[in-house]
Amino acid sequence: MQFLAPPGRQLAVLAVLLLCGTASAFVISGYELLIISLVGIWAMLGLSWNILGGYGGLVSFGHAAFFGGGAYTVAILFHDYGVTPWIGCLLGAAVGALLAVMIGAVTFRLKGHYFSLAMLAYPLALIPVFTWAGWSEVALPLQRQDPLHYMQFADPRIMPLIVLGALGVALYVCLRIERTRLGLQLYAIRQNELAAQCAGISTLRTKLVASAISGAIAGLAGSLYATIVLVITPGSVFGMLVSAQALIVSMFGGLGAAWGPLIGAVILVPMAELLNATIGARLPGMQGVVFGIAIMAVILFRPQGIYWAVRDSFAHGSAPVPEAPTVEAATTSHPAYHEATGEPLLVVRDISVQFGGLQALSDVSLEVRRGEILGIIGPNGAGKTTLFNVLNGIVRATAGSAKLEGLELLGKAPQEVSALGVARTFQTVRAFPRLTLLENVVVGAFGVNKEDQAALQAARAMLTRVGLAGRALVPASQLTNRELRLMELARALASNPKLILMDESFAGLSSADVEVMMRQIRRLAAEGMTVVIIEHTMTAMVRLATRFVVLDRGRNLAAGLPEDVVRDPEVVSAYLGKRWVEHAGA
Amino acid sequence: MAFAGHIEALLQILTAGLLLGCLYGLMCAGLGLIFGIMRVINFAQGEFMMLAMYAGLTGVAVLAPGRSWAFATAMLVACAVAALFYGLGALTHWALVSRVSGARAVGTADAGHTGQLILTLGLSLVLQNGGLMLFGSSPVSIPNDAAVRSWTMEFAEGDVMLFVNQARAFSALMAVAAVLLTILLMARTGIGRQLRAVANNPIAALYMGVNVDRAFRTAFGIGLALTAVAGVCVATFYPFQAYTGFDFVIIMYAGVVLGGMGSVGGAFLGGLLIGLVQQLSTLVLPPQLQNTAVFIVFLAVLLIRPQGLFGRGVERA
Amino acid sequence: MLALEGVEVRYGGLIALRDVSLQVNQGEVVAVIGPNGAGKTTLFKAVSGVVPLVAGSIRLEGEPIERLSPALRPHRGIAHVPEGRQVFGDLTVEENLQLGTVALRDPREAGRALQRCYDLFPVLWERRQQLAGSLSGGQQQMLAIGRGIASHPRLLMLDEPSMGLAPTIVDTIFESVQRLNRDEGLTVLIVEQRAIEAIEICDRGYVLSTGEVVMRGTRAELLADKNLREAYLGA
Repeated sequence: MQFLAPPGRQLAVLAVLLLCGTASAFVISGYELLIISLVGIWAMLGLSWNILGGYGGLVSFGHAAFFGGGAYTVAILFHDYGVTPWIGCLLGAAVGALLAVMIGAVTFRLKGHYFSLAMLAYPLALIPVFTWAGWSEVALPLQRQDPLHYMQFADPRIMPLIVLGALGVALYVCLRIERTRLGLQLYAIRQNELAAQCAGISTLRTKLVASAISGAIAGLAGSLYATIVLVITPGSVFGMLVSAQALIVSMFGGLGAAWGPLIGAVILVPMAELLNATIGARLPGMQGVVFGIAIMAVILFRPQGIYWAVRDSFAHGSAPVPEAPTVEAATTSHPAYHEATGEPLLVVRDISVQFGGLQALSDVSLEVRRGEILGIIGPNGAGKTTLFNVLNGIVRATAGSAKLEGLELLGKAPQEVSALGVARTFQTVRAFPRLTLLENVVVGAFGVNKEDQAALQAARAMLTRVGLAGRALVPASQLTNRELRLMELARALASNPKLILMDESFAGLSSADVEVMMRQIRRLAAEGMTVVIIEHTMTAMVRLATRFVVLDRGRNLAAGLPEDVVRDPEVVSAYLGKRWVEHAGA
Repeated sequence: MAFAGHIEALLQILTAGLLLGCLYGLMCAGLGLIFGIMRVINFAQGEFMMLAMYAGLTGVAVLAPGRSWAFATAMLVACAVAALFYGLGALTHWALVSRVSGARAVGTADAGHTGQLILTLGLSLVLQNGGLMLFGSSPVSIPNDAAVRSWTMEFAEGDVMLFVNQARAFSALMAVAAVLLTILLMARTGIGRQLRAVANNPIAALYMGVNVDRAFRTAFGIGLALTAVAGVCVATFYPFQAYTGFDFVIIMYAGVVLGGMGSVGGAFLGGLLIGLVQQLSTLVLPPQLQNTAVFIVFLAVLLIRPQGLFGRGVERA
Repeated sequence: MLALEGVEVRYGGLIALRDVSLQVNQGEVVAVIGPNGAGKTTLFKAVSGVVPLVAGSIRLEGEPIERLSPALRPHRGIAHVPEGRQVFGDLTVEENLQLGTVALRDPREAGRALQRCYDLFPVLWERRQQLAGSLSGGQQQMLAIGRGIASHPRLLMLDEPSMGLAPTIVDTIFESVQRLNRDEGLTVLIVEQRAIEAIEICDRGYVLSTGEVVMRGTRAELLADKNLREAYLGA
């Protein structure tokens, strides 16, 4: 994915490919021409599937619903009302988009394989409905009067060309998605939906937009399919093999890359068709076997698909760390938070949380003052991360309130909390490994920047701020641990927060790295940022935090200045054991 | 008289739903056991059942009993097929499923769920279409005596008559017996205890010295064996072909989801309910839409109560 | 009896344990203490085999076990009582204990092994038909220990038994561990975050910090050391 990169080279490749397709249409004839059309149609369906499944990680087993919706739109309109497929195809795309949004709105509340299974049910439920409604076989009538008007061409080369044209459009749309915020947001959702929400992404809206595009492409593919094969049955357009082929060409070719479905379709469709044409008469079901074996082989041996496998093997040859481009040290004029410190920014009152029978937090209260670095400490299981999750809107509190500048945070969704100015980092770094450092940070800047360019600028500025400007274009998978932690900090900063919640940001760092992180956090505080940090490395915390709040077994144990808190006998006993004070005194 | 006619139709439908539901329940128990213990959704479960149906057909044909013994032979063959599919399941797990599940999948994005679904989807395509190549597409069933015999019961002095097909009735009994046996196995034996422990907390089971891989293999084998028995039973009264497995797979999902994705008993009850829903839907819907009713129940349960009707607690993330 | 030599463990490139060497002798109680995130739990997982070693060796009574499958290690006499108890919540107390006997060499011993657990923790006998998930935290910890000793292990590894428990219950649990060691000569390796309770019952101890052994000594040496406080509190 290359956010905002000009798609020049890709467009050139696209043009060459389409030209090749066009040229080959003039060389071959008959059955092979049909194969070109089929490759184009399955590639389109694959592209459609890839928008949800590849970019967004929403693995659908039911893309046939949109495909069949498009196919039947064309067929019924033509057969019953005499509407030309030229219009039918457009309406087919619209029906596909509409179906996708409706189905998505209901089904996106399910996660993971539950989503996949539910999606499976939609097209299969439609098969008996269409059969019962009397559409068990719909043929597009032949029009002798005005064939052009009805997409019935004397020259067999025209239809494949139309399909290739549509494929080009679909491919272009996908390349655009990869280069704009929609692609990055989907990618962020796929990696970690919670982290994406905390970075301010409205996940349901993003998914619905993606569904609409995906459904439209699938609907168009189905419409063209109906126009080419002329006779459709519920089984041939809503059947399991249709959904499976969408998934298989994408995963075989390469998940999450626009070129993947194209590669998959170009390899698999002709193979299946030719085998079917040669031995299919004796051994029916050849297509299913080819696709089945292909997908099993991919899952077992190259789960990332051909495109990525080839790309990665090339990447190994080239120099792993690209030249650090010099980014002008933009003087970041951060909105001034230079109000007097000491004024409370966040007031937490009597928060309680219950998981089943377990009381995770009981009546926890604390105040965060503007410009301070508040350390939250406590033994394992004290409820520190749970407290952050409550503030973030990930976990629902059973009682209590948390007011940020007088505005209640509890009961809000994570992206709303983020919009109010609370950013969050996580115990384990949530980087998007195939994205560059800059792209990783841009995700955090979408909430406050409506323009993609502005978001990019903001991300650049934040990278400069944490001292990573020189590494902006390095893929996250090549970053060191310290750089990953700084990247997460920059991503949090990119949403222009008033308050940053940092969960164990020193985990896995060497003591030298910890010093770097501490310098960064101190500087942020000096610039007026307010930081709440959970950390176990006490030696560091004592030097970093301006104030401590100690939790133990879900309750407030102590609060105050670091030097006082570490002498508090209760705190000492929570960490070292209750008889420590006697021993130490003796 | 019209009233008695309605009662008769309703009774007939309820009986059909219950008998068929028991077999659905057995299929669901197999799929549910695999999911409950391994958290793997086996997409190819229906195709394995289709293979079991052909295995049953072949077995009965080879033994060539007289017509009056055909049904009893089929039930014996069902037991043999169960053993065969236990082995086939263990083999499939070892060769394929274990590569994308268990310890190897821990730490991947979604614990390998998507990989497992897609791998078994591929397997189902291969088995289904391979089955088509091997067996052709014309429907067959296991010819037997019981399929054409039924008991007639009379109520209300002959105003209400109930016909019970013997093949369906004995098959349902067989299904109930197989499920009860499995529940006993899970509840009372050391193997069952180990399987439940592995389902509950595989790492802790490892600390106890339980061979978790072997437990998963066993679970996959038992799961296939149960569904295979259901397949042979169904084959005694229901014509089948290579695509039959797929017809049943949604019924299995619906039953397992309804039953709460996990317990064998819950899955059985879920399947039983699906059988009733499917048959009762014919009272209000045209018969072609039977399966649409099943889909709607399936979606409604997934969306409204994903832990199922008999599931307890919350779904593991 | 158990000897770790130069053990290194990584999680996705991150070093979790660095050159850790540690020894447990027959009949000893050895404590490993250290603050959160020091790598104590990882150390146990390395001994149990659920995380792979990058370097180093683990020997049990002189035999290298680092390549042994994790499911076989309990059969060699290692019982691991994991952090957070991890009882089988959907199973009854008795079934949990029966699972502990999977690694028994002689299955006929199972009944006696269960009796021993009930003698040690009578409350488990009272609740033997209850689901383990419905027990209190302290009772679950007792069950986890009972499940561990049901296999008659030669080495009992306890990972933070005090976690989330009230102090009086922690005392009961530590007493029973001491009893096992004193009366039956069971060798115990214990990991604790609360240093003092662990040091008081141990013969020797190791202090782990950011994946490395930073201190080792006998009980008396550790109790006298004021630096411990700094390792924990930074004060």
